This record gives sequence, C-alpha cells and structure tokens, in this order.
Amino acid sequence: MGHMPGTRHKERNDKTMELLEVHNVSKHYKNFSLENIDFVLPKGYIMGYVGQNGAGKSTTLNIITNICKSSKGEVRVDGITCKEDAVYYKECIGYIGGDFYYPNNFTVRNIRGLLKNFYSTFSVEKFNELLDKWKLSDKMKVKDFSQGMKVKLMFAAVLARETKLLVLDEATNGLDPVVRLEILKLLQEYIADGERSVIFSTHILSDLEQIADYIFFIHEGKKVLYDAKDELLENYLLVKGERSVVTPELQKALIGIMDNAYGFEAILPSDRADLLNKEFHFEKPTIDEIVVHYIKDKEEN
Amino acid sequence: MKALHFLKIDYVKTKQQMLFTPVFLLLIVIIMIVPDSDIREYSAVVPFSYMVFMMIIFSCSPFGSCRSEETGFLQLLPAPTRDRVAGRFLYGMSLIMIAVVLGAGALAAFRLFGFQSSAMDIPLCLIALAVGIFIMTAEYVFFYLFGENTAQNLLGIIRVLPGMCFFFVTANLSKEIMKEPEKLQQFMETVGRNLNLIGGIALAASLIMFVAAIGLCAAITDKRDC
Repeated sequence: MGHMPGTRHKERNDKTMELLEVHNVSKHYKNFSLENIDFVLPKGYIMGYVGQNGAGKSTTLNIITNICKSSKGEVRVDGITCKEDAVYYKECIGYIGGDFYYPNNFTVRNIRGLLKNFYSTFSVEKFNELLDKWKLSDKMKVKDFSQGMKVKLMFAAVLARETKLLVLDEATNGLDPVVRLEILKLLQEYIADGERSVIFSTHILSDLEQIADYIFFIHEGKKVLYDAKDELLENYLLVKGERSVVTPELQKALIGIMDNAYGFEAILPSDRADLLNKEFHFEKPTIDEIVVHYIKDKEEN
Repeated sequence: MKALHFLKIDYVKTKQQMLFTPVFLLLIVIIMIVPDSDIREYSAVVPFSYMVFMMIIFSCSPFGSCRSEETGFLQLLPAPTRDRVAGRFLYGMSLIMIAVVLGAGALAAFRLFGFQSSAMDIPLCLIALAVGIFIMTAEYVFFYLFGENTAQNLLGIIRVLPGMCFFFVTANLSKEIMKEPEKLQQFMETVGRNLNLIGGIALAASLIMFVAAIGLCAAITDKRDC
C-alpha cells in the first residue's frame, strides 16, 4: 500500500527547505561521463537545467527519477533517497519526458486504470477534469494522439496525483507556442503553494527566462554555471563592439567572442565592467545568450 | 503486492497476441482430426505440449514489445523492483496455466475421439509442464541478465528456439513411447517405478527454480539501469 506524499516522513520534511538535493553525482558510460553534479533545489522553485544535446541533462534527470543509477553520489527528494523508501520516493516524483512513455496500444482508459492501481493519491475526478479540459478522448489509443496531446496526457497523469517534484525532460520541445504557454502557466500554478518544485530541461531557453528561478548549465557532463536566474542575469553583460578596440585585458575577460557583420559579441562578468569604455555597447543578456557564449568559449578552449 | 498490477500491464500490452491463442488451439485440433494423418501416430499428449510450446513463445512478448522509454516508465511506478519482476514472471506463468487448461481440455477431447492414450499421459504432461516452466524461467533470466533492451536483439532466437526444441522432443518422445511402450515402461520401472513421482518432482523443481529466479532477476534489475 502506498503512502500519501506529505504525510509519511512529515517530521523530517518540515525541517528542510530543500526539496531536491543532488550531491556529487557521477555516472560513467563508455563514451561519456557525468561528473560531480551537485546542487539543491528549494521548495517552491523552478530550476532550468540547460545544455547542448549530449551534455548530460537527461542522464542527470534519469538519475533523479532513478531510471538509471549513479556511479557515485546521492540524490534525495524531500529528504529521502530512493534506496531508503522507493515507493515514497517515486510517489513524490512526476516525470514528463520528450518521448511518450506509455505503451502505444494503451487507451486513456488503460492509463487511468494503471495510475489508479499504482498511485495512492491519484484522483480519477481530477484526471477526468483535465482530460475534458484538454479534449482528450477516453477511447482513443494513445498512438493516434498528436505530440501535443501526448504531452497533455502525461501532464494530466502527473497533475492528477499529489507529487512534490516535477521532472520535465524536454517536455515542451515540439509543442506549439499556445500549448507551451499553457504548460508554463501550469508549472507556475504547480509551485504556487511553496511546497513543490520543478526541474525543467529544455532547449527553448526563452521558456526558462519566463519561469525559472534557478539555472544549472551543464556542458560535456560538467557543471558550468549554477545560480539563481536573476543573479545570473545580473552577473553578466552582453558586450558588442568593434574587434579592433578590444584591449588584451578585455579580450581575456570576455567569454565566447563571436564575430559578426558589425564587429563582435561576447559576454563579460559584470564585475569586470570597468574594462569597458564608451566605444562598446553593452546590455543585460538573456539566458540564451549566456549559454551560447559559454558554449562557444568551452569549444574554443 | 503490486505484482498483479504489473501482470495486468503486460496483459494490456499483449492483448492482441492473446486473441490468437484460440487460433493456435484450433490449428492443432484441425491437424489432429484429419483422417489418416501421420500425427495420429503421436499420442494425445501432443496438443498439450503444443500449447505449452506456443505459450513459451508468447511469454517473451512483453520483452519484445517494450520500447526503451516504456522500460523507464515501468521503473517510475512506485513499487519495489521485486514486484515489477514478479509481475512479469507471473505473466509467463499465467500463460503456461492457460496452456495447461486448453491443452488438458484438448487431451481429454482427443481421448474421447479414440486417440492412443496410456497411463503415462498424465505424468508426461507433468514433465512437459515442468520443462515448459523451466524454459520460460531460463528465458526470463536471460532477458534480465542481458538487460531487457539488449536482449531484444536476440529475441527472435531466444523466444522460438527453446520452445521449438521442447515441442519436438516431447512430441517425438511420446511417439517413441507409443511404438514400444513396454520397453519404456520397463525402463521406468527400473529407474523410478513411478513416473507420477518423477513428474511431480520435476514440477516441484521447476516451481522452486521459478521462485528463485524472481529473486535473482530482482537483484540483477536493482543493480542495473533499464
């Protein structure tokens, strides 16, 4: 018999503000290694987990959901490791991936039955309500659903039960802007009570700009940046200008210099703004720009 | 105990295949009732072992129909690994039980139609059942040992070969027995004097192996990524 997330282990949970703790997690494959990933996500916040394809985003999220095991390190959700209490741990997590994971010959009815059997907090009424809202037919086989419908069905399955952590692995990729906006709104509603959190990997960084509180940027299995989003945006400047006026000192401080038709573009730590003069144009960068320039910098070095 | 819920998932996943089960039964019935058919030389145990053979093949289907994302989804469900593995094993066992019911029904019907039968039919069926459970268990252990996704590449061979060997061995064994039942009976008397006991022991051994394999596969799965 499952236990209500939030009731079991309650005493311990009340003492901690961290919902997700990832401590020195490593995973080694033949051609890829995830190395010493370490971060915490407090209750009531959204973390954007960003990086290029193959950077290690899905590997990290799969370790969090316990789909794969880490070679080293520990993951705690609401203070509990999966080893300590696998059933509670898994009840706490709602996972939505870019790939639809229910068997293709299942109908919505099959999925409802399955969720009812497995999750102690699953609400049939809430699930049906979400199906009605998103016009998902009960009798259709899921293989006949469009990508948007599949994502909505996965969301309905997760939101119809009491989870504490949503893990989204490129769940909004391939969706039209209207559905994406709808989902971003849902995520904000999800964390509104201050008790639940979301970790969200996506290539659409403008989505993160809107909703993320923290950004973790990973490249080739290693942490590059990890900070509160607002801090991150404050800590960097996007600098544009002509290459000829760049001093050697500035050249050293600039990150990911990219030449274009008008000169160059790069990011600069805000605390090195003293290196700039009126010949340069600078502004607050977007997350997208910070990530792109950091990747450029990593590739060059 | 969520093993039964996992068993249900496998049934939903493979329900199309289940619709074919009566067709296979019908096939053997038709073959056996054809007058002057060579198959009449075989005993009425044939439909029993045939059904067990078919179900051994069917029992591998949940492994074959599983996309890698689906394996992850099963892993996300809040249940101990042992329940997940036990559910899959129960699926295989339940198919073999279906084979027992259908095969025994067919065996009884053929006896009514005057097929050759002997006192050894029942113990032979028990041995066939034990071998069937043994093969199914061994195949499942193989799938879990090599990983559900990796083993899919070898699925075609794994699922057909042991069952096919099983069917031809039991069918030909029963044919030989029909030719010289006295000789075999003498042999049986010398060896154990009681084929029923041998059948019973074989079945008990296969069931012990079945239960032990669930524990082994759960331990393997716990240590491996899906």
